[in-house]
Amino acid sequence: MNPLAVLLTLSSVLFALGLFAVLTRRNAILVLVGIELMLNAANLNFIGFWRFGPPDPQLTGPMFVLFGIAIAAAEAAVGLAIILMVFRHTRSTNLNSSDSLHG
Amino acid sequence: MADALQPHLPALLWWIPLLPLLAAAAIAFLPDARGRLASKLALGALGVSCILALLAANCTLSPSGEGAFRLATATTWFTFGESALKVGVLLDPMSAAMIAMVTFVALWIFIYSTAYMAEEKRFGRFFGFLSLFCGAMLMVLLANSLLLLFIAWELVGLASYLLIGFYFEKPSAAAAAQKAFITTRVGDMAFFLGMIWLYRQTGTLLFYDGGNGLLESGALASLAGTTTIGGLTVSAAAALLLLVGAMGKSGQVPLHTWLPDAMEGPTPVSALIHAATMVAAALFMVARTHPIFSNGGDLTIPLTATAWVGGITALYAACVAVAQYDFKRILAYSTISQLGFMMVALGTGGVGAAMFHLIAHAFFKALLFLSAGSVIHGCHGEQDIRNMGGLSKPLRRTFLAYAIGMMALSGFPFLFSGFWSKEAILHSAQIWPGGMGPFALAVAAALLTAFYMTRQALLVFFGKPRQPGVEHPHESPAVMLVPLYVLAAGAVLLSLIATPFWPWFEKWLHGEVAHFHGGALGEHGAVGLLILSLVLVSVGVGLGWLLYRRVSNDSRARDPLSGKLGPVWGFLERAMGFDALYQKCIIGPLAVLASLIDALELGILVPIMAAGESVLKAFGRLTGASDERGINAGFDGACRGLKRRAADASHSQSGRIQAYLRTIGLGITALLLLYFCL
Amino acid sequence: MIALLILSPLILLAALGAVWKARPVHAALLLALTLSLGGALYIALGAGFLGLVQFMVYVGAVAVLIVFSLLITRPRDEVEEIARRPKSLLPGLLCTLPLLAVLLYAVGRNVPETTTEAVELPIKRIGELLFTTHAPAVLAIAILLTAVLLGAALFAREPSKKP
Repeated sequence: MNPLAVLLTLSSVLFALGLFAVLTRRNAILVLVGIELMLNAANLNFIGFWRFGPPDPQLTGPMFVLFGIAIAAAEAAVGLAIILMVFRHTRSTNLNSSDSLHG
Repeated sequence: MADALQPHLPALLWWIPLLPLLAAAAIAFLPDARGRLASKLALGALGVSCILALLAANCTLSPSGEGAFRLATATTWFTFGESALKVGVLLDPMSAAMIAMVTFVALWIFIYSTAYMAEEKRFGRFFGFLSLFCGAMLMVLLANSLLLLFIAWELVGLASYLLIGFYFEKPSAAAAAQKAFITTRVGDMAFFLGMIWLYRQTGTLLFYDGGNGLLESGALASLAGTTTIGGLTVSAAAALLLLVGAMGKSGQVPLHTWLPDAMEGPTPVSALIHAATMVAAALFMVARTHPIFSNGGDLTIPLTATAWVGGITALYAACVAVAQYDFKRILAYSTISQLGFMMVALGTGGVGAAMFHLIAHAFFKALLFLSAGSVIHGCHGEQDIRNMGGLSKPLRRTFLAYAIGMMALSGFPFLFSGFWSKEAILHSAQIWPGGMGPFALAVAAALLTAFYMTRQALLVFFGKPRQPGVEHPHESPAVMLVPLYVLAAGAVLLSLIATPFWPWFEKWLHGEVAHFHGGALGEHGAVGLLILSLVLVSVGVGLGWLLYRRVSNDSRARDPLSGKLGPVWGFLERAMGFDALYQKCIIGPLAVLASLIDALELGILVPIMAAGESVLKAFGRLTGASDERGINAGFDGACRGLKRRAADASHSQSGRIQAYLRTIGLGITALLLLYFCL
Repeated sequence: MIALLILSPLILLAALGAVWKARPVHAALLLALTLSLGGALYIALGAGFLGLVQFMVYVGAVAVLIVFSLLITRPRDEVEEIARRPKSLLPGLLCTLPLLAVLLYAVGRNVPETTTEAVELPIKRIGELLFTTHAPAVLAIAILLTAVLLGAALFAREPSKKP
């Protein structure tokens, strides 16, 4: 079995799971969980290709992962801050309740 | 001097009518406030015309070779096809005498008017119309073409209309102007027909054109040679038509009904137009075209007709004048009667007599009208002679002038031109080979003339004032009196040139030298006629004096004559019912016809118009509705549909994030698929 | 390889739990587990540094942050999550499964040959790269994190009482 294939399959499934969470979860914070999963899956991809691909002196993979982790952290912080602000207004983290921009 | 003037004569002749016409045009542009300037323009133009006319007349005094002096010009007016219409001026003793008389008399009437019409608001316009009239009248006299004469004739009619209706706020004045115009129009139509006939027959309308003119032998021969309906020669038929034209303009029976009503105009107008000049224009036209009338001898049908029409008119008008009460109306009927006299003269071959009577009549009739104006003015507008009386003392000067005029008209012997002119007419009627009918009529009319003038004089100037309004009349100012005196002098002095002893006027017309011969009375019938004239005057004046010398002081008393005549008096007073007759036979049916046509129009045209209107309206409504329901509704409906679908479509914007994300996810999937497929 | 084969299903299970569990706190904790297992996988694959970074940042900060925010907001509709689940399931599956299919298909078709020798991640090299080639990016990240910090602090303030 090709280890890369396994890794890639894993990351694909993780991505799909994360997407599923984003699309389905009613709690905004749990949606964020899904987003983190997706980012994690992408990072896994990069590691995989670094490990099982041709040697790269530039270390593109790990670099990307590093920055990805940093960005993900920042984004999680901002997202949670926004969710908390909305929570202050609506006293609920239900995504469906904040649909006032409907047509 | 006449020789020095000769080459300039044609141009000079055109200026004579042109100056007053130009003055009229200039006055037309002046506002009412500049009345004084208008009168000065009119007087100036006419004054210069008068001088030019006298100069021109002077030129005709020396005859040129055989026959009378004649200067005829012709210029082409416009051409159509191969033929051309020509116009020109004609100067011969007849037209010279006329233009001299017209300009002279008109000038003094103008001067009189500056005082008489002084309070009139439309003072300037009055002089404008007068100038128009004078210019047109002079054009009639100087025309060498029947067409030009006709055009000027029509202009004269227009000026007459404008002046009769000068006080147009008065309905009676407006009606009188209309009546004058329409009645003369009947005559003018006949004139026009005659003119066209002459043109068709001879191809020219010029009077004298170096042998080719209408009045020259070539044309006259062709006119006499062709016969037409009823066996008349063309010249007879055309002449009869021209006669009808003259009858309208000069107030011969039966086209006379407008002249008495024309007294609605201001008195100077009555003096100038309806006594001295316009009515004389008609007679001048007959005199001018006399060669056509007399084409074929002394007893042609037109001439006979002229004599009889004149005679009937003279007697009729004299009879009616006897029973009139209005000062000016008496004078109007008197004018009609005198015009009848002139027609008699023209018909019986006394063209010179007619012309002289015309000129003399102009002087004394104008004099009478102007003095009537003074009297009426002095009596503060009173015109009924039954209300006047005893005016000889307060209005002494006016009375003096009036007296001269009255005596001239009545035919007081020897001193007054009227006597000599009337005598000349009676003479020519007497020797006429066509019978004594016109002569008898003229004699009777002359008798009555003396009678009614005496009646008028007695009722107005003698006795005692019969109404309080005439007790203290004011005499006219010098500006009005001087013209009276001048005209009076003319009335007297003119007699000098037309006595049988020295028939200067008659000879001048024919271009012969006049010799004084004292034995003129010796010729046959002359003494008898003289005695007859004296008898007529005496009887007429005597009868008048007898009946009216002790007229009562009550203005409402019956006229002494009415008692003697009974119902005839009323008949005469109503002018023998001509007006009523015309009303019943002509105007009545015409009015019925007019209302019939009006009803027809209302019944037919108006519904058609209304139908057309409703069709158009329906069409308008149809297009409007199609626009509203069709286009607008369709468009609105489409917009509404669009809005609804947009509203529906906007429901997809649920505002729920996860729905959007789902869509994005599907989209990415699709993109990836695409990536792999391609 | 062996570590991979062992860890993969565990990761999947943990992720599934994070996605599926009704109670939010459980889901958050399972996320933390997933992330830790992921970090372990990085170490197994030779990227030790990255694994440690994963632990410190993801698990230690992000997951904790998530748990804290759950504690603040105290979602009360955990029971409702279970009750209403079937309705939103189908659309989610409909959108996810195609993507999964495409990804797996892509993987199946294009997986290249691999070299199996293990390479250790040189930390020194990472440092060099960070501060030379990727220095601008590092600066940007620093500014971003500063902004995030300030923003979060701004957000977290009590709204000022207006008179």
